[in-house]
Amino acid sequence: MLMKTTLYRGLFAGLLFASISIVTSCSDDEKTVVPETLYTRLGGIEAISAVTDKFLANVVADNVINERFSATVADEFRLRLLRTNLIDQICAGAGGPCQYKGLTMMEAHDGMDISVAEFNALVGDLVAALDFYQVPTTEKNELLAVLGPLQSQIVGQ
Amino acid sequence: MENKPMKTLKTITLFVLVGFVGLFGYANIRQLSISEKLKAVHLASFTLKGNLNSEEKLALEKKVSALAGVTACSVNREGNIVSVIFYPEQTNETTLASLLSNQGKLTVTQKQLAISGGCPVHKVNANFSAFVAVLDIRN
Repeated sequence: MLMKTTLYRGLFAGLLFASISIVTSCSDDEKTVVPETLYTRLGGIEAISAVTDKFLANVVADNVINERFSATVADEFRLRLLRTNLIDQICAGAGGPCQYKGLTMMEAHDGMDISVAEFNALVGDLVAALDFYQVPTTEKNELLAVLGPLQSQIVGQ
Repeated sequence: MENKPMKTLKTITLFVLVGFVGLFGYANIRQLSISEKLKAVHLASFTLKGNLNSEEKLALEKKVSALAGVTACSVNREGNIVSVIFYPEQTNETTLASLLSNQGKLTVTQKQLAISGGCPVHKVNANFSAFVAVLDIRN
C-alpha cells in the first residue's frame, strides 16, 4: 500500500515537472524574430519572375541596348536560359532559395566592350520594371545595391 | 575473327550509348531550381508607325499586358518599338499585332531579330540545356 502511494506521488511529481517544462518552453520570452529576407519582401519567385519579364521587355524595346540582346531573345532556348539566369541572379541576390548557374559576369561579357551608357540604360530598364510593379523604395534600393557592384565586371570587358 | 572497322564501329556505338545514358540520367536526376520549373515564354518585338503620346503609349502597354497569356509588354520611349513576352500556348504574334494596331491607327510590323551574336547567353550553353530539358521525362 505504502509502495503504491509512493509510486503515485512519484508519477504525479513527474507529470507536474513535465507540464511546467512544456509551459515555460512555450514562453514568449525566448521567441526570436527572424528578419524577412529581401526575397520574401519582394513577393517570392512569382513577383521576381514578373519583374524580370517586364525588365526583359523593357530591354528589348530600349533603342540604346536592344541590339545587344537581339539574337539572344530571338532564339527560344537562349531566351529561356537568359530569363532563368536573370531570375536566379535576382532571387539569389535577394536571399531567396535560388542558385545562379550561369557564367560569371566577366565571362559572359568578355569581348563585348560594353559602355557605361549601355550599363546605365540597363539599370534604367530594371528601375522602370520595379517602378511598374510599385516595388517600395527600400526594397528597390536594396536590390540595386546587390546588383550595382556587377558594373565593374560588365563594363569595358 | 572480327574485322577492324566493325570493332571500331562497336566501340563508337558503345561510347555514344554510354554518353547518352549518362546524359539521360543527369537530365532526370538533376534537381530543378524553382526558376527552371517556371513555364517557358516566347518574346516578340514589333515596330510601330504612327503617333503615340505618352498617355496612349501607357494605355497600349496596359491593354496588351492585360491580354491572357501576356506576362510583360513594353513600349519604348520613342513609341516605335514594342516588345511582348507571352506564353505561346495562350496567345500568338498575330493576335498581339492585331491588338497593337489599335484598330488600325498604327502600322505594326514584327521585327526581324538578329540570328547570331548577342549578349550574354551563348548558343552552345543554351543548346545543351535545351537538349537536357528534352531528355527530362519529368516535364
